[in-house]
Amino acid sequence: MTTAWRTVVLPAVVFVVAVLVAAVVIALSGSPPLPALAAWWEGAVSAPGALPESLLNTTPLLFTGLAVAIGLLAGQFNIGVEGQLLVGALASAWVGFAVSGLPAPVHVVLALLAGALTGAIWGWVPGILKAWRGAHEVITTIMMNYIAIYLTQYLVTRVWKDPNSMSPQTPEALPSAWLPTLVEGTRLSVGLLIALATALILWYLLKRTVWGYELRAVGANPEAARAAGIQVSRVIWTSMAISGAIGGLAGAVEVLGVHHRYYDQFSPGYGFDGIAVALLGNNHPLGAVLAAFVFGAMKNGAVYMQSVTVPAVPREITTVVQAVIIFFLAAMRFRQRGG
Amino acid sequence: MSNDTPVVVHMENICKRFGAVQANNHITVSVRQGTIHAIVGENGAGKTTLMNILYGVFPPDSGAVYLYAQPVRFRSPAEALQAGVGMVSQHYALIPRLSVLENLMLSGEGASFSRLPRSQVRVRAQELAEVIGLQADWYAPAGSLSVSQQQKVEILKLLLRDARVLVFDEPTAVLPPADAEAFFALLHRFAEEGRTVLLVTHKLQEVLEHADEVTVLRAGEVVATLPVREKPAAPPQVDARTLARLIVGEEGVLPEEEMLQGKRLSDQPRLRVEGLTVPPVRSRAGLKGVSLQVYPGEVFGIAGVDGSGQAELIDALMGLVPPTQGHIWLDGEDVTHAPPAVRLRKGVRYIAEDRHLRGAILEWSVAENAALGLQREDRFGSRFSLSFARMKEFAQRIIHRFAVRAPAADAPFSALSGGNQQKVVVGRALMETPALLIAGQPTRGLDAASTRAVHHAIRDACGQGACALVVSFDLDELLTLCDRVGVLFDGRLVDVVAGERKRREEIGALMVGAVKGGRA
Amino acid sequence: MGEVFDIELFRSALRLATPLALAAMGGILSERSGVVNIGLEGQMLMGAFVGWAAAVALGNGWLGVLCGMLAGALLGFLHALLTQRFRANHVVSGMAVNLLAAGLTVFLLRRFFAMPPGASGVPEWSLQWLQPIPLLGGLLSRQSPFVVLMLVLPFVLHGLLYHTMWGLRVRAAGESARKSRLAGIDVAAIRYRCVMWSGALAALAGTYLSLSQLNVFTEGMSAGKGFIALAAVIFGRWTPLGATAAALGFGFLDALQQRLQGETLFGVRVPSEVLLSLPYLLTIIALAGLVGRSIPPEDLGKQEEGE
Repeated sequence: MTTAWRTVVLPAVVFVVAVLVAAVVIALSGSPPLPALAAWWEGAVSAPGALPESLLNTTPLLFTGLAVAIGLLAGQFNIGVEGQLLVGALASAWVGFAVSGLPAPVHVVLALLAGALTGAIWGWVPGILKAWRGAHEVITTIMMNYIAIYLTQYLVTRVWKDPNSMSPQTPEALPSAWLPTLVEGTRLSVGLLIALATALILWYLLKRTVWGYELRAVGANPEAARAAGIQVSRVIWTSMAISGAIGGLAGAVEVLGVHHRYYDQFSPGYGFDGIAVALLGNNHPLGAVLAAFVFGAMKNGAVYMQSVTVPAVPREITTVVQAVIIFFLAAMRFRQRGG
Repeated sequence: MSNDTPVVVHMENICKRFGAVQANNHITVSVRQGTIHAIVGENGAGKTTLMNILYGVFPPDSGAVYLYAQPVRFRSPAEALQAGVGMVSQHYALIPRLSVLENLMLSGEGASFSRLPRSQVRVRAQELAEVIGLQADWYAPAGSLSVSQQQKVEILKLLLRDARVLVFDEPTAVLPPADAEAFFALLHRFAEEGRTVLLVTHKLQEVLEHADEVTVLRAGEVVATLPVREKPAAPPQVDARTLARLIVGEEGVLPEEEMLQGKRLSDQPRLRVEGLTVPPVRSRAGLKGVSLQVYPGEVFGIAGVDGSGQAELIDALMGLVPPTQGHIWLDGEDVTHAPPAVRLRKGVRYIAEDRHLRGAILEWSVAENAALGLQREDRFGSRFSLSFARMKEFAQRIIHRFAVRAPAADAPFSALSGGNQQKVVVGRALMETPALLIAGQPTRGLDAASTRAVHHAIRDACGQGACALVVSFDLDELLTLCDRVGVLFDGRLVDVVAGERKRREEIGALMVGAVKGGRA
Repeated sequence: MGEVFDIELFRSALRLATPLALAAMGGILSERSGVVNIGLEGQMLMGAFVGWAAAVALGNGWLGVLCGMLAGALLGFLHALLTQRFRANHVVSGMAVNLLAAGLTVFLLRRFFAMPPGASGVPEWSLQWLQPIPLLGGLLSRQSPFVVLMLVLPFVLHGLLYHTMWGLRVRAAGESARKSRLAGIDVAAIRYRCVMWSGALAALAGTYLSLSQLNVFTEGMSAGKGFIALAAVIFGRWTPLGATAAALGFGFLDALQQRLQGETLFGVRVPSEVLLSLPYLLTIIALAGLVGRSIPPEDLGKQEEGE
């Protein structure tokens, strides 16, 4: 099976099957499936304003998908992207409102870096625990998620709360820290470009650097990697740190590009969606781009579908589609990876 | 032991094939009641396969097994135990975290929600334990027991089910000499009780001292079945050399090729090993104070039955396992605890015994595999600009030089046949003259022509200044390729043979402990 | 200080610990047999939803509980099928279970229950005869049967795991599938059963959420309790009694946090978030082996290729 097959064709087939399953579920729930699917498509791409909104959804999903993918390529299962996203978002929001007197480009970059760095730390901790103590990263990253949730909740409701508002949110970031809009009249910011750039950079790093080569070797066969002189421990915690950094960046971009502040529970679970994105994209950076768009568009379309179908098809059907996709992929592909 | 003694176990025309290997080829063995019957042979002779068939681990492809003249077909070891056949295999089957008592109760047939028959089993086990000389805490985790104790627990498992046929596969591999003595005393006692014992071993001394009959297997076939003694405690009727010769085969003419000999290019050894000790693990003997030197231009072979310490030697030389004692010097520099990367930088190249586990990444392309271990060198580009094209080119050169049959240099590694995969792994190590080549089973899975090519390549490399340490189970390979051959037995380097002494018979005898080596 | 540590706090702790402990029992069963079950959260959620929906439809809380458990077992079967028959990665399959439950429950809720009605719940037991017993009486005299079950089940499970042949076989299957098969144990059958029971128990925990106090299902009701249950399993070293003790500890922290709401404890202002994060922090510490090693069954999560 060539890479192209595994990254594009197979996922496409699985996706179609999953949508069919969703159609069946929709039908069973009493709504006519074909009009629902049509509305779904319309809301995703063809209706006016649909595409930019789909792309808006794509941005965080691409980041989180890349984060999970880079971990998986190194053989690490980073379920903690959600937590890394949260701390990264809050850190960037803080730089956004607390640091003043900086010109726009510098301020934005600094805020983004703060987000990435915080996320990196959040990923590094489980990574080093795995490398040094063999602590299973699946559990530690899940735990770190909840610690992140509570930490950010505490900070945003007590310490950094916007004094002018009743809601648990930070003060708005200074305009110098806002990410510029990409398409006039929409909420789509250059964050999308940053995400795409990240994908391309990762692609290059993985394919054309020694670092990427060694990372992939560890993920594919740690024993062979060791015999080839690769420092497996180092690869483990660096890949987790980078994975965390990208997750943090996901949060930072959402804050600086869309909401311009951090508010409690702003993430509808982007971090977990990232898992589906990475799997559907075969852990390939470019595959993640496609998969992120597919999921982003699907989510967007489902909102529209819910509003126009009678009886209304709840938009949570997309989550069901995601689950079915993962089930199929897990059955077909994910062998020989220690759980 | 007379011919009237009934035959308890009769295995008739047993055949078993694993992929391309015919592990058992029409093997017929008969074992009489109350005897200790030894099964001997080299690696890959088929001994363990045969016993696994008897014990129900897997069925034979063809042939039949008779127990007390009744045909039997065990579908699992549990069924075999039911019928009174028990085996203590080389890789112990005790579950380390469960207690000794729990391990004993495990193969019982109790109904699901019945209470664990703890006191019952413990009482009975205690009785039997006294008989076999086992003292253990029944509630301790099985993994905390010493190796000898674990073995006794395994025996206990069989006695609890009143096994009348007891099979032991390499039982003394990790036992200290005193315990080994006690073990054989136990075997004789079983025989006296009328139980039947099958003993799979590569240690000829044991056979000569304790067995009643011996069956020699070679390359999956029965070469001979001989009585060892008329009565228990009588002196043996065969001698070690005869048996060793049967095991490794006649001296004979080596296939059409001349011995590849080289000469030392320097008086200073490139590789010096002193007192290397690696602790034993599970069923492996470990290394016990091994010392050797390898000089530039020479090929040094390591012979020995599997489990004699070869894996530990290779691991220690590569830097994958830290020795507890001893030193390794490479060109005068102490690399005993240096990581693999350092050794690779100094020109050490590795052909892994198990290419799937250690030597290659199956999901990758041939080209990317060709670069494995060499990825930090300049030839593939800089740190930040690794060139896939150059990897392909390198792979192409390997393919060309070693006549690898591959669809393309960027084809998936898994698309190549096993033999061709091996050629890539070998080629990768030899494309440039290494300082030291460590090769484990370098021609495994290769046909005659490819084997020759690899041997020539190793020789050429050594002619240009390299030196090689070749570990192999193939005596022909060692004889034709190597200048000197060291023999590992039970974790020790018992002798190093060269020149006149470098003969099949001699090495074979050392491998099985038939003769004591000069160094032992 | 005395105002905080009264009997009501401990009663509350018991209630909050109940879903954690019940789900943790499920987690132990599955993991002891060698199958990682991250899907406890999803199974709990599905149990909460199906249990409530069935109670509404059938008019009986106990029937609802039964239906909820069946739904959990079904999700468990799915997980077992994927991991045993298709040799899928245990974690991926578990995450898919969670996703499926999350999506399906909200989908069905919105589709069929525009205004979610209250269901006939499972009433508390008065257990008046316990009243006179000091301490125990105050804690248990008016509690849901689930709470009582939570306290009893670990002992039952402990007995099953450590004192029956079945339990021995389950533990052997989790330590080494290969050696267990050699001993004639049907590892696959054991794993299927254990994982299905695991799902059923997690779902049972879920029905407690939706049928015991509020008698209604709300989106995302399980709120991460399935993961805390997993933490309790690890912290309790994969033993029923240990996990229940851990769950009780976590429940206590939750109760304390709710009571304090930022008030001072021993003169220190302890933010509730600190108490809420403690279970997770402690689990990381346990996993890192900083306070003794918490070691899982040997064969846990292994995906074998063929026999």
